[in-house]
Amino acid sequence: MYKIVGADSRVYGPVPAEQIQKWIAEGRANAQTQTLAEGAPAWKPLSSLPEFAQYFTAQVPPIAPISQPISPLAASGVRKISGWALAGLLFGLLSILMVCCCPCLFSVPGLIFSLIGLSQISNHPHLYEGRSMAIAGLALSIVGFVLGIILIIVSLLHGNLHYHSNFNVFNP
Amino acid sequence: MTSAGSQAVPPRIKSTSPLTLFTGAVLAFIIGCGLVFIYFFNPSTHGFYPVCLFHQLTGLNCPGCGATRALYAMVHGHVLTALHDNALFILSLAGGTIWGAHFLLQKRKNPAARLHLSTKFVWAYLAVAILFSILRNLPAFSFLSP
Repeated sequence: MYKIVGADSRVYGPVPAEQIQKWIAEGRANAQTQTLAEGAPAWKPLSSLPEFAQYFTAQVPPIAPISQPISPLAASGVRKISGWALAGLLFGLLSILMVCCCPCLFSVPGLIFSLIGLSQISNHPHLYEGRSMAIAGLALSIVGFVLGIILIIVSLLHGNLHYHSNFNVFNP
Repeated sequence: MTSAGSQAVPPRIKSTSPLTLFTGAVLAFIIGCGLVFIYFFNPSTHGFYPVCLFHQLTGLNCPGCGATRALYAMVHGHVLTALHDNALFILSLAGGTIWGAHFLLQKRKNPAARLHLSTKFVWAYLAVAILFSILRNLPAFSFLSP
C-alpha cells in the first residue's frame, strides 16, 4: 500500500500498487510525485521506487553530467537554466541588432534581465545555471546602450543633415 | 498537508501553468496584430514606421534596414522579395520559428524541458550579422540591400 501527495498538495491513499499504476496512466501521478510506501521511513519521488521505475524510463530525461558541481547539492539534481539569463541574452542580442532603428529600447530590459539572472544564479547556484548567458547578455546590453547613446547624440547634433543619395559613397 | 481520505482520487497534473498559457496568448495576440497591421500598411508608402537613424546619418544600410519591408513582402507571400530586402532578418525569423517549434515539441514529450540558447551560438550569430552589414554596403553585394 502507498500514499502519494497529489498536485493539490493533499495526501491520497493508502492505495494498492495497481491503483498507483492507474493514476500514472491517467496523469494524476508522475515521476516527481512524493510517495510513502507502507513501512518506509521517508517520502520519496515515485520514480525512485524500483516497483514503479519502469513506468518512467521513457519519460524521464537522462540526467546530464555536471562537469563542475558548484555545491554538493548540485551533484544531486539537474540545475535549471535561469529564464532571466536567457531573456537577458536575447534582449542583449536585440539591443545590438536593433541599435539603428530603436536605440537603447532593448538595452534597458536586457540590462535588468541579465542582472536579475546573475543574482538568481549567484544566490541559488545549486538550482540555476546560465551564468555565461547572463554575462553575455549584460555585455551586449551595455554595448548596445553605449552605441545607441552615441547614435542619438550624433543624430541630434546633425539634426538638419538629412541623408540624400549622393552622400552614400558606396551605392550612389 | 491534509489527507484527502482513502477513497479520493488526486487531480490530474497540469503540465503548463495558467501563467505560461496567458503569456503565450498575449504574445500570440501582439504578434498577430502586428502582422495584420503590416499586411495593410506598406512600409514603402507609409511614413509612420520608425526611421533608421544610422541610415539617415550615413546613408549606409544597418543590419536591420529593410526588415519591415521584408516582413511586408513575407506576409504577402513574396519570399524572394523578402529575402532581397533583408535576408538576415527573414532567415533569423525562420530559424527562430523552428527553434520555438522544436522546443514546444520537446516540452510535450518532457514537461521539464527548458529553453536553451548557447552563448557560442550568440557570438557566431553576431559575427554573421556584422559580416552581413559590411557586405550589404559593398557594390558587389548590393543584392543584399533593399
